[in-house]
Amino acid sequence: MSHSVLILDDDYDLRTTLSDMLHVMCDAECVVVPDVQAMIDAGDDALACEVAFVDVNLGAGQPSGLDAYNWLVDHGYHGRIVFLTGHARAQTMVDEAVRTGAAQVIQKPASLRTLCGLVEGPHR
Amino acid sequence: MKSSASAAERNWRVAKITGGLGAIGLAVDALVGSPLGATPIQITAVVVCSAIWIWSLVHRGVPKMATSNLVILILNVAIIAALTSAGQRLAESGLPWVPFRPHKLGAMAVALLAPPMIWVGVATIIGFAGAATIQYLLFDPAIRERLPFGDPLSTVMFGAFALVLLFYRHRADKVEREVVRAHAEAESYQRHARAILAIRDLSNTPLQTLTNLIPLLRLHPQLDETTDHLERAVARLTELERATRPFEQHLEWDPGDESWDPRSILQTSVRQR
Repeated sequence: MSHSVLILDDDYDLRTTLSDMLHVMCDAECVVVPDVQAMIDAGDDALACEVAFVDVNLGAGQPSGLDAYNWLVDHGYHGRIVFLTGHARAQTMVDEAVRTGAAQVIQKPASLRTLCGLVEGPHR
Repeated sequence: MKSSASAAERNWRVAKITGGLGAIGLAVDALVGSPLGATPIQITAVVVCSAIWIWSLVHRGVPKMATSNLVILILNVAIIAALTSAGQRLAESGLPWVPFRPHKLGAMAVALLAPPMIWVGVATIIGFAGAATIQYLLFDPAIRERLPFGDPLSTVMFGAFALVLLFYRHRADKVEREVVRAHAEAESYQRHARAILAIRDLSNTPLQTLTNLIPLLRLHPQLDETTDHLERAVARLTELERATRPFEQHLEWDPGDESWDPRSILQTSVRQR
């Protein structure tokens, strides 16, 4: 059975290769979006995903991965939210989300095993 | 927070203030506080203090500690000589007079100014209190009988309190400088940690892209050797990335810091060096 994954990252190369890799190696169908607005536009397709890989820093002055997290939670998202970030969890808000068990943080670069484990593992 | 001035800068500042207080104070004392007219020593001291003060104001740069120490000592010798000379004339005049008030004021002023080299402050305070005490002891017994009760003990006590105040000021200044230094170090650490974080943020996304490509390339056995090279290179970069992780442990974050521009952080960091 294929898995559905939401990928939100502002880097074109990363989101494309991640989507390809998850599709080929973990049998995942990906909804790939570059920013929060595109995720909102994807609507139910985004909310139906089992796992959401969300970059925290989506560019200066842009809505962040935390905004995406809040939108997903506010719209009844039931999947697993994974902050895929360039640095370890240090921001208070990210910390808060992780502490409550609503999200987890994976630091780039994450291995195939880690990423596929998240896609194929039990979801919320 | 700005870093504190160097000891040489603070010493030079004390020298300039001493020059100003000496020149103005002695001039006022010569004009207003000397009913019998200023003595030649007072006039000479006013000239010396004024000349040194003006020189210190027009002098560019910060002299060495030794030069500033010498300036402070010369100024205070001139001031003490002028006060002693004026006191002697008043004591011998028979006019009603409360002795050694300027000496006490001088000792307290030195304690408040607190020259960075503590021995300069100690020597100057002892100079003010000692000169007054010795002068009192050298007064003719008839003069001493006319003077109000209290001296020379009150002058000695003023000197002792000035010394205590001087040591307290030195200790407080030292603590303050250490706090300023600690703040500067903490700021510097934060700046470096943010710069390293920016580098990691910029490099980890392409590193993740390369990591994603490895399993895809493995699907093509004819590219195995090439993929091995790529995998080893990624492993080395990942190792380097892990080595820089501890820097972010103590970074302070504010709300809104989630979306930031690592390039501008790096540019700021380079500018602030």
